[in-house]
Amino acid sequence: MLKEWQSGTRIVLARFPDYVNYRQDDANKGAAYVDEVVFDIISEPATRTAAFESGDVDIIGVPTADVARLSEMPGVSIIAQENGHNINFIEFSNVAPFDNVHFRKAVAYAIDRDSIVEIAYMGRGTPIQCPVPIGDAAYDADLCAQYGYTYDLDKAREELAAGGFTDSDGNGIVEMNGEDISVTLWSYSGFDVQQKTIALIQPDLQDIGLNVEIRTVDFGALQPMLEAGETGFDYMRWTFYDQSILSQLFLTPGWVGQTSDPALDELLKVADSTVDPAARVQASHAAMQYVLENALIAPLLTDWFQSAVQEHVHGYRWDALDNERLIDVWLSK
Amino acid sequence: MYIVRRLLATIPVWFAILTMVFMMRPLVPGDPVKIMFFGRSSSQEAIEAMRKDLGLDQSLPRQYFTYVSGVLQGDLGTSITTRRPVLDEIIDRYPATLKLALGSLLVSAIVGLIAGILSAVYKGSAADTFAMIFSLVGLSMPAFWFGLLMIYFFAVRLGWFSVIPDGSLKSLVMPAVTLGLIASSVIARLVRSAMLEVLGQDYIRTARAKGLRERRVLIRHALGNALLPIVTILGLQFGGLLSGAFIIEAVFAWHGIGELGVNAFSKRDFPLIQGIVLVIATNYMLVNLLVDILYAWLDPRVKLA
Repeated sequence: MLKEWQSGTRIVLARFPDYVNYRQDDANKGAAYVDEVVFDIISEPATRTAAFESGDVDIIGVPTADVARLSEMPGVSIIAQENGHNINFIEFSNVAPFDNVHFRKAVAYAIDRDSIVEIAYMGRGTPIQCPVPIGDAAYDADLCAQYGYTYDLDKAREELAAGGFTDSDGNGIVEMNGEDISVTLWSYSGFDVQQKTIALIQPDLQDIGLNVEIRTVDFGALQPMLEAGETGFDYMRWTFYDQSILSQLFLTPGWVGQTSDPALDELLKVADSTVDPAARVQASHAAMQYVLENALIAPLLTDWFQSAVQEHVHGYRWDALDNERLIDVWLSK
Repeated sequence: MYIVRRLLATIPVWFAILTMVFMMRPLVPGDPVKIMFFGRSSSQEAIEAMRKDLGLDQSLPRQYFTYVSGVLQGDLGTSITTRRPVLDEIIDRYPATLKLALGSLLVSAIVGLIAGILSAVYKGSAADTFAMIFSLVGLSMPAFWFGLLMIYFFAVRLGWFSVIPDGSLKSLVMPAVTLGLIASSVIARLVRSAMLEVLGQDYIRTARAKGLRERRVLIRHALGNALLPIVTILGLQFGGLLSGAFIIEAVFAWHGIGELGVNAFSKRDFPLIQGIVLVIATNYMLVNLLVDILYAWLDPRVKLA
């Protein structure tokens, strides 16, 4: 029951003794074990971690940078949702040279997803080749391994050559229409991991012969650039709980007006209008295959949602839709 | 007459502020509604409904008229994230900010005045060097870092304070001391230079020659005359503190205007951002007005100028 609500500050929930829980995935089918749950809103991550370290709070959403330190605290558990519904990816606009499928494939091959997860995300994510989040019903690692892209700079160079991008003057930069290709990889501010990620991608792209600058701007400035196709390619992160994420992203005109593909639209419409779950997954797979074969985006990873939990807290877990479940929580002395 | 003139002068200034606050939205790059919806599942209908709700489907002059008439009637709009009136959100947070502003002003005034006076009176001594190094450190140390250090030592290591404020006077100590010490650096330097200038004046020598006690000379004759620039800087600092110390409030989870502003910016809650900016600017304007009036009271020559 809602006991107290201070806007943007604090929420207090009290135990409802007559509650009946019908969810199959919870052990507790009755009222919560704890009398109260207090949600204190601490916007600054470092302060949140300090509040946990000082014992002021029992559970926090832990910033990736603090996971290693907190996990060394006696009794502290880091509980992660590794099958979340977020997808981090590189997206392309439809301007040259990004309108060339070989160019997009070259970029997709030149991305070292394992290093990104290990270095930028400190191991707190899962590299993916699928154009849907790892927690999505349509996610299929085998399918995406068949049609997706793994880190291979030689294949990336081959794709550039197949697309007509060659280094004729031997200066290490491939050319388009006789001029060195110079592109900018964009990201939006407020997320350190994104900036670290594009910094990791940049040298590999330079290695295959692209002159790449990286830039980070506020999303308010990035959004009109995306819609105008001025960005070329950028780092994007979406969270979505249904396989219709594909049509949200790619159905003409695409989420920022950069997609127009009748063949893909047909596949997406079938996926969106199919009711039978198994058939719907199959329809989504057809669309995913198309997206990968045309390298419409370069999927990177699904990052983990994670909480740090004190020793005396038991029964805390994440559910399949990335919600924290507290009904099984009990406290030991 | 001086006060009336100053009061009247604030009216066009406030309307200029109001206009600039209104212009924030049309001048921000990108579609504000699409930016607000970024990362959330939304239909085109929902986006259009929000645009209509915010009045963005109207012409700019019409939007301006609606905004100004709303503000004049105390309607600053509705927060997109909480769906509560912006004014209510600000009023809820204002007492916390006022408390922090008064607490840190007290710390900064006491520390700044004492450090500045001692530094001027004992110029060239170890105390002077210490006070000036202290003020240099305070000026150059990022508030964010200093705040986290305070939390780490006094809350996490020593356990003297709670990281999460509970509204008590005790929970005011860490943020007020952090803000106050940083602000006192400026005051200490200003008091020192003002006092050094005054202490060299003939009337101070005369006061001492009359046999007045040194404390009376310093407090009444020297500090009294050095007070004008100090009042200005204290006033400006108070205006800034009243507007919410954005970083410090966020670091100490202090639920004031500053923290509200940080959250509004991160959630791209434009009506709330506009409301906060308007309140901050109005605060500054009113505090400046008060400082000017105080100036006239402290120095009668100002009224003639």
